[in-house]
Amino acid sequence: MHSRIAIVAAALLALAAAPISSRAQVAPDQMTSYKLGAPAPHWAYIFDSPSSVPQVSKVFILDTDAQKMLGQLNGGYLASFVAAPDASELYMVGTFYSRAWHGTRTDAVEIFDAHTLEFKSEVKIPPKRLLIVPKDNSAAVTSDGRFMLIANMTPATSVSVVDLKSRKFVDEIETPGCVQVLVSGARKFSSMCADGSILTVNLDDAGKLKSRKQSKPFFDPSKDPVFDQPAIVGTTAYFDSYHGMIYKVDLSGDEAVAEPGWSALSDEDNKANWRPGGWQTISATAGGSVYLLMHQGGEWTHKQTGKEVWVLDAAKKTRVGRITLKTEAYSVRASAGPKPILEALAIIQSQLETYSLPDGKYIGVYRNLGVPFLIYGP
Amino acid sequence: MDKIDQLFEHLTRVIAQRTSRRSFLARLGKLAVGGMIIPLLPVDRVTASARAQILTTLPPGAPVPAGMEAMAKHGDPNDDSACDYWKYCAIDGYLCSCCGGGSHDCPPGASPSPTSWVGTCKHPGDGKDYIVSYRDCCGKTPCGRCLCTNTEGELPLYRAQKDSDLIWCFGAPTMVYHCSTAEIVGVK
Repeated sequence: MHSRIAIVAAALLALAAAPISSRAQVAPDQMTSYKLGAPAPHWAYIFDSPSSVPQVSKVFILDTDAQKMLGQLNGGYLASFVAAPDASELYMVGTFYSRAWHGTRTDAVEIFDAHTLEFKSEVKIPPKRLLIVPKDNSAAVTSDGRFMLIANMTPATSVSVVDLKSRKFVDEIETPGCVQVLVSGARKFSSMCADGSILTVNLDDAGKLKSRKQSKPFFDPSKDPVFDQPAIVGTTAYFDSYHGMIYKVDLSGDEAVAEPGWSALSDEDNKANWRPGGWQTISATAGGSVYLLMHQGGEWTHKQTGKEVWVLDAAKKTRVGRITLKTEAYSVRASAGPKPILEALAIIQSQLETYSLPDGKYIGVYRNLGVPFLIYGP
Repeated sequence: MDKIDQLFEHLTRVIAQRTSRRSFLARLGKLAVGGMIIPLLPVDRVTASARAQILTTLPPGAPVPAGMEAMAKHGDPNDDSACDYWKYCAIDGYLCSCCGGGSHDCPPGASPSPTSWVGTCKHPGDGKDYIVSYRDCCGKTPCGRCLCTNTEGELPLYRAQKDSDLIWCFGAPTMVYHCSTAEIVGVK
């Protein structure tokens, strides 16, 4: 027995002493967690809508230039994702039941460090937040990053205000007959109303209601409704309608002011049944280019995936280009920055395709993104 | 204002047929905020025809992939596990009849939502138009089976009464959506 142990020990010693190769020994690994740098214009935040277990939401953070996955953020039931304007924090506004799918309901704004993606703190809000298949403008931050605004529906409509500086819930502002939060300033947001008008709310420096004014209706929801996820650039909102009308709305004042709408469709386009459609159907850049996700389908096909993106000049009120997508998309977004690219999300194929602008040249594809519904940028 | 009145009339008629006056008033009180009646529930959600689409893996609100419509069970208006079932003309969601429930009954352990939207469907036998209340079953995670998506007549969120992307579990023990049913309320 002793001799067998001696033989094994000798063999182990020989192995330990023998060089694996002529090179130096591999150093032991040091396990860490990566940190993120400052976000680049071509980063994309992609909301994966978990269909079977929506109690946990997921956002992928992707560098579309490097075609690299950077990380993931989690939130509660049918959460809303929001990024701080100064890129220091990321937020998930979620709903939680104490026993996952039953028990006591808690709604909270969860605050994450944008560099470590670690959970920092939370602010509880009234358990009234809008619960819907994830949509843009369900929650938003004021342009100075001070207040978080959360759309409520019980089904009475209101907006909860959270002071992100003091980390406290401030107040609930009633928005009768109007929903969502379209932010257009440091103390200002607008909501879309059932009669085709817009309610604009001004806050004071404490986040309390200062004034509230409803515009005149600028479209007829029963004849040609606009989609409820407009493109917002600064204080300008671009709305697209089921029939391809484009409305430019100035949200800078105490009352929203809409310019007369114009059609993105020619008579030929109409005859060929071209329509906007999908989930995020419209995007815009600071230069006044508007991107519209289009398909051929006719009436009541407003959720059909799009095979083209039409490039519109908002100032000249005309179409200036057409981009044919390799894969039909459900959501599109033009990135910000000096060299915008077009990002097209294909929900069925679970992928993101990118195209250069303005020429619409295909750049590449990133796959395995769950059931991607929404796309945001830094 | 006419539209609001019409919606309110629907709300009165449909809820009154299902519930006692006392509980109706209690519920109405919950919907009245700041003196305003919320013209949300339930409402006329008339659709001319159901385009049957049946999927098993995508969430409500998702588009139907090209080529996948062949999966739908077409043509049998008496099969309540098919999107073509006559009462489902305006349904949007997972069919409870594929999840352990029935066309107007929840699966075991799931709670019927007291709120709903309303459609009008033509019975293929007697040719009459029936008012159908689409009530969700709530309190379990999404069933994920037999997704029927019909976007005809569907409006955006600011017309919430016709937005099928909302979680219609208002008034149920939890806002966790499980599946959808269709309940005949009466003849139009």
